[in-house]
Amino acid sequence: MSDQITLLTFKAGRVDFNPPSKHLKPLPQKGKITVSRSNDEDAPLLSFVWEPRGSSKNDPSVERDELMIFPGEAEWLPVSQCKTGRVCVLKFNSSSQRSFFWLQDPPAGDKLDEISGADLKIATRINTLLEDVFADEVDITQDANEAAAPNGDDVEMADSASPSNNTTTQTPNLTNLLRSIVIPSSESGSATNSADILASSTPILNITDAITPSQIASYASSLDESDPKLTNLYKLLPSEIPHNKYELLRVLQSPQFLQGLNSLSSTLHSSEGYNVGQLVSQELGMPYRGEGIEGFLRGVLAALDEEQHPDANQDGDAEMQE
Amino acid sequence: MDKSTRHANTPTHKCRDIRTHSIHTTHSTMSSSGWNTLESDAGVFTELVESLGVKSVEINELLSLDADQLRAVAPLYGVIFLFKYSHSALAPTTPGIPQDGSYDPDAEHAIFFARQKIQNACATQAILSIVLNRSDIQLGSALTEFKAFVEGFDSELRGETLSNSELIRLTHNSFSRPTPFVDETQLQRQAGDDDDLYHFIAYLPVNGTLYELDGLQPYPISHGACTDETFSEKIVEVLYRRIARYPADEVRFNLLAVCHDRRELLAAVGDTEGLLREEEKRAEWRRENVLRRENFVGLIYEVLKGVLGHSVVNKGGVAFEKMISDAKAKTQKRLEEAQRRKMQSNSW
Repeated sequence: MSDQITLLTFKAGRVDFNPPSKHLKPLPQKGKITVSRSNDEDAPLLSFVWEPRGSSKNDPSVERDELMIFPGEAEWLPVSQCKTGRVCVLKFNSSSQRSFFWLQDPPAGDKLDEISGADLKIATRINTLLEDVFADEVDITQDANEAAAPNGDDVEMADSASPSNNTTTQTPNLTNLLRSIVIPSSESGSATNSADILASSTPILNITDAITPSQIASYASSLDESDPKLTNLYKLLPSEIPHNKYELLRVLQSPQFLQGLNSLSSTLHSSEGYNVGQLVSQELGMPYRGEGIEGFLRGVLAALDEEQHPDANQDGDAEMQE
Repeated sequence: MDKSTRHANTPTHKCRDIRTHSIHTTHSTMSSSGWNTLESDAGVFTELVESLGVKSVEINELLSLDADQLRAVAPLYGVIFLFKYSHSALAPTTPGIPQDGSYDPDAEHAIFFARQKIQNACATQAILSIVLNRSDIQLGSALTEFKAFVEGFDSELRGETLSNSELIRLTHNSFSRPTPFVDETQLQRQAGDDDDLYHFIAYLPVNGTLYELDGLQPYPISHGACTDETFSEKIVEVLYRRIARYPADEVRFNLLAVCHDRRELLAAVGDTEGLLREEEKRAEWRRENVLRRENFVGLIYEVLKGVLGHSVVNKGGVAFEKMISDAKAKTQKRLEEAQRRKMQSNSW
């Protein structure tokens, strides 16, 4: 609009965030954010627009989104706890509204996944404007774009044809980004490092989400006929079932066994105030490691550990049965 | 290929493992509604009816609504029509005028008809509606007593008596899946049925008339004159009319035939091959019923331990933690899918 003064533009994609889920999901479409204000000095409103650019403009399902923001109503924060992507949030102070974005400008230097100095400059600029729409207009869009000279290997987004009207954008590897933002990465050993925003307290709803029926069958199948572990499994079969590997595998792959896994999962998960996990671990004679399916699996691990290292000192097993 | 060895016909509720046993009995004493849900399976129903003392009767699933198929399982005592519907708006009962056929209030005393009092009992009730109305079936002592006891009652009281019958209820429940703990109605729903509802309706010829016995209806419904000989033809017509009333993709139907023990018939005519096949079928039913009674907690525990030792722990310390976080991600994903689907189906 001709009566809008553009204050700042930069390339950014949207990130889906739907409470009560704490899950962030970056969307792949190319976009840009334009921060502008009205020419009219009596309207101290900041216009914050996200719109698709390049090939994403052709996608009818992708819509332009405009927010009109009063001074002091919101702030723009890089999500620094997210070490695997350049995610920022437009956070409103008086409501729970939050809009997440991921920066699509080529990052300075070779750190693809971290908030760069240029990113912080943008953030500062946005926050300044959010406080005062008439703050000094220093055009830093040049800075942001210049910060990254397009270089040799481009990683284009999967859904883009090479746009002729766009400077080539070196985007971080999208698959990696999607995967790594969504789940707190434990590869760096810093599972506890992830943001409150990211899922860390999801309960597991079914044992089969951790160990699949086919893993169970493969394991049983791999056991040698003479292995005492196999004999132990036979002992746990219903009495009318013959004790051989063929029948064992039939049982492990039966709908009734799968139903048993589902039932136990339900029981462990929905304790409804009863300490079901405690009861189950007592019944089975395994160490108690908490409620829910996670607690149960940790208990199984602890039991395995005891079996493998029977002489090691065990601590914290106040509820351990003989 | 190993075949399971033959076993005596009486179902024994052996609890394999003291641990699973104690969890199971905790459940039984705490259960409030009293009647558990049963899997709708011919093998389950056959063993159920045998456990009630009925002789020489089996129940088979018919895969198509076809008079020839029905004749092939003669002598046919009756059929049970099973509705599975996922939306309560499609519930098959509307009190008032029946949608097909006519109410026969007088038949209420001439035949065994009971009002359904408990949803979970409906399968057993449908089976009883057939066997208790046949003079050519040996009921065994318990059911003969029951039938005599309720002879003079009206259908309401018969229904009450049935739902209060310890023997029938306990036998019925012995075929349900053991859930390891507490509120079994909630657990069974979570076990993946997503709000599917079942209804069972019995049809058989009695006193020269084809009756529809539906415990949710106030009276038996007559569909006109019918004998054992013409039953196969007539029932197909009646059921086709019934099915036509429902949108095809929202209701699923099953047809169960209550018929004479096929092994006896095959043995009588010396059909050794056929007999062998029947024995195999029975062995398979027995095996499945044995598995159904297990909650498998002990076996699950041991195999999970084995899998952890075999393919998780030996990969290093963080492998277990990764397994946990991957599992959480999977759960998360399924929840979102379910949420998405729920939102899409909110066009109801």
